[in-house]
Amino acid sequence: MPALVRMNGIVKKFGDFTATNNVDFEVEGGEVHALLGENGAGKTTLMNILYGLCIPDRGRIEVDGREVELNGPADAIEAGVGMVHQHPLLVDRLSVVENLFLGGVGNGTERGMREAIAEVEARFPLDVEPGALVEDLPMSKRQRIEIVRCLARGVRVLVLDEPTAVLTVDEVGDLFGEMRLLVESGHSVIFISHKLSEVSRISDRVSVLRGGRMVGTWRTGETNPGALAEAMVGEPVDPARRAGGPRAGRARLALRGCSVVDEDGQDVLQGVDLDVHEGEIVGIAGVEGNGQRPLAALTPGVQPPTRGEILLDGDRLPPVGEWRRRDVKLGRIPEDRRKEGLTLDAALWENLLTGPQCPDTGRVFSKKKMVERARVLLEEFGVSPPDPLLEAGQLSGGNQQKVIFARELWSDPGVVVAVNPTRGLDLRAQREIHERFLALRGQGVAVLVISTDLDEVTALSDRIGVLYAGRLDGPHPADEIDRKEIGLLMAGLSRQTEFDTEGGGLL
Amino acid sequence: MRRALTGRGDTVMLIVRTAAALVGAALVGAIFLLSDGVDLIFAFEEILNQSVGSSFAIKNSLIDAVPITLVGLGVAVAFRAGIFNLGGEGQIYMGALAAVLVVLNLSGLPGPLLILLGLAAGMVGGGLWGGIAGGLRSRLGLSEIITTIMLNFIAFWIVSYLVRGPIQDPGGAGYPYTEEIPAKAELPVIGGMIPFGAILLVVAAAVVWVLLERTRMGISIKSLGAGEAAGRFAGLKVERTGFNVLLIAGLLGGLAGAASLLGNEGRLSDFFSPGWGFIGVMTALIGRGTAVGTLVAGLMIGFLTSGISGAQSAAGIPTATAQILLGVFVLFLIIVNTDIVVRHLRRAAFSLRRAER
Repeated sequence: MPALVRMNGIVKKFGDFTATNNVDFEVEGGEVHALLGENGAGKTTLMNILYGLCIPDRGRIEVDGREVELNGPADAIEAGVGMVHQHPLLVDRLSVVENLFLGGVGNGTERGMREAIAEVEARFPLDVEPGALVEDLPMSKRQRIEIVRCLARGVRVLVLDEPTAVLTVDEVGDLFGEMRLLVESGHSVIFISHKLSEVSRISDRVSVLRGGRMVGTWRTGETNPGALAEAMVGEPVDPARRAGGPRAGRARLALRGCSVVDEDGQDVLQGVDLDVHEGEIVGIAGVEGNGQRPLAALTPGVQPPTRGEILLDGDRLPPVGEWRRRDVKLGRIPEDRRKEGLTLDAALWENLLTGPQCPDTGRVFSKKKMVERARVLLEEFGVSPPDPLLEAGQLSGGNQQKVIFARELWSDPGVVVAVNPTRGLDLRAQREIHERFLALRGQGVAVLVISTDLDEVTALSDRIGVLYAGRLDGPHPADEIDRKEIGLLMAGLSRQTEFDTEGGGLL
Repeated sequence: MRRALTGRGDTVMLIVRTAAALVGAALVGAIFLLSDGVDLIFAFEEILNQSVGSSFAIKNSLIDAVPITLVGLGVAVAFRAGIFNLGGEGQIYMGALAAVLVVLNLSGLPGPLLILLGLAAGMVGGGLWGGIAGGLRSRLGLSEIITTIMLNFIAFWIVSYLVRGPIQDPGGAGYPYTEEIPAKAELPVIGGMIPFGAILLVVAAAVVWVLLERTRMGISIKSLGAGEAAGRFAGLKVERTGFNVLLIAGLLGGLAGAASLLGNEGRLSDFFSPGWGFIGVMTALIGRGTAVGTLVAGLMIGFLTSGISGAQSAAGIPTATAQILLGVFVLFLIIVNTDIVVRHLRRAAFSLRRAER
């Protein structure tokens, strides 16, 4: 069968970072083609290129045998490629029909639009009250509106960007039914996912990206989850970086049966038990969206658990707003350093004084003294330039992260919790931050690193746990679990899953 | 690299821009004056004379600057926290009400003590009004934009009711105002030129400056204004800070009411404030939310107001044209500070959206 979409030699760089490196990718007509990979593997970049959101530095794209130049989503739709986002880009306060209208369905008149919708509905059920407000609809229906919007505009290839991450189990079943319906009517679906079980269940073929390179494409029936997991996580880049084993110390941070139910009533974290001892680094691996956020919010005392408790040296961890200067024993490196970590408009010295970590400043302080103190601290933490009067927003990511370390470690906490501490940083900054963690461990600090970067987790951790769907597996001593096993756990399979070479036998 | 705090270059630029705004406003204002057949040169000379031409003129200008600057300082503190205090009018009325009640009922006390108590009562009254909005915001998440405006109406009608009934001046021929305060409770004028209120002004601006620039609370306020996430994560009590800010704004608004009552008006009426609460918002915007800026902006508007209204009869400027002229000046001053205005309005829009949910 001729390829409906053919991408050749796609290269896209962001600064020094190569997001996709000479990637070839083909989608046939009438197939569900799964695209697998870890966070940062290049899936989203590749699909953004196909949808015209991102212009490649090099490479050639053909749709239906014709070379196309995609300078924006309009070009992509014109060429026949549509995208359904995980969180559909709809106007919540408008009705379904109004959203479709805004989406350019029909010829601009209401009648034209109704005809266009009716035409689509003959092939694909919208199954939504057209006058309903989008904000009242569940996520699955919103995704369906986007699908209809694409179909009504004549799209032949639909990219579904991790659609199942926001759906319930039943809704996933419905979505898979819809995907089959699309394929039967001659459309192709590119299905982005991390979940091996879903990929096995729905896709005809599967391609795996790792570190910006295409590892390979297989017929789903001819491969197996074990092989895919291995293809996804690959071999460790630098296995020798981790030094020494865990030291037996007392548990400083302890989570006991912590569960979190989010605003929508979903169990986003279920019964997590975890101890972090002094002088060890515990790493939590997992694909984004499997409970990292709620776990991260719990441990720094930002959001209390719905059930269970968090103990710091045996005492319940109070909400961060109630911390007193003298008893800050926990340093926190937040996931989003630009939003949560720092006030970008404020000067560095002011950022260092935000929160309870800093030493007593007195009622009215002298700015000169505070700036001087800040300068000493910034120098100690290698911030460049160590100028306390600079705005935080003007530093590079690595230096911003160092400022946060400076503030959080100011009170010499015995426990440090970090979330994706090196995301988006260049290699040198990554290395410096990793060395900082190892130094902390050497000082007897208990360190918890929650990261979607598997290399980071394996490089640093004495013990490794894996989050999947809100449950924590482990932590296991690092030398008792290998990357393949971690990969399987991250994809929601058991560690002991046998590799069935006949393929497909798993399900 | 850009520094976080306004550098010298920025200050120079700001002065140039402000001067340009004043010239631009004068040019546009001239069109209105000419269309009324006013002698332009004479009119502007007279405006200048009436604002800074004599110690009497300066005194009047300063008196006009007092309420708007005090309210403006309160608005400015709130601005820095990303909070929109539109309740200046209500805070002024409640402050003046509290002050007049104290001063009239304790008129046996010696003058200085009476003044002190009157000003303190004004702050309590205004603080109460700001505190209500703060409590509604921190406890129930109600948008302060809505509550402060609503509280303005409530305060106005409470005062209106009282000055037409329970505390109406029996000898006032039915006018809706209270008795005049005793002479010993009036704020003194130093050297015939500097009203006591002007000293209050400078002190208040200094206190606000220290609060914003030299205390951890100030850092909390500014961090809150730059976005809640970082502050919340760092352990700031976001709700508490929001409450404190509106309370402080109320204290300053109340002080504005009391200072005007004791400094100039002498009695409370239901036409006590000619919109000082809202001019105060402009003042804070022109002052870019800083203590010093608000002080300068308040003085500028005070001098313009007093100059224009003083020149009206001599130069034959119709009342409407005088108001237009003042409006043009304020508008031009706001225009040169557009960046900050837009940022605050955008934030206000967010806070409204949050309130809707």
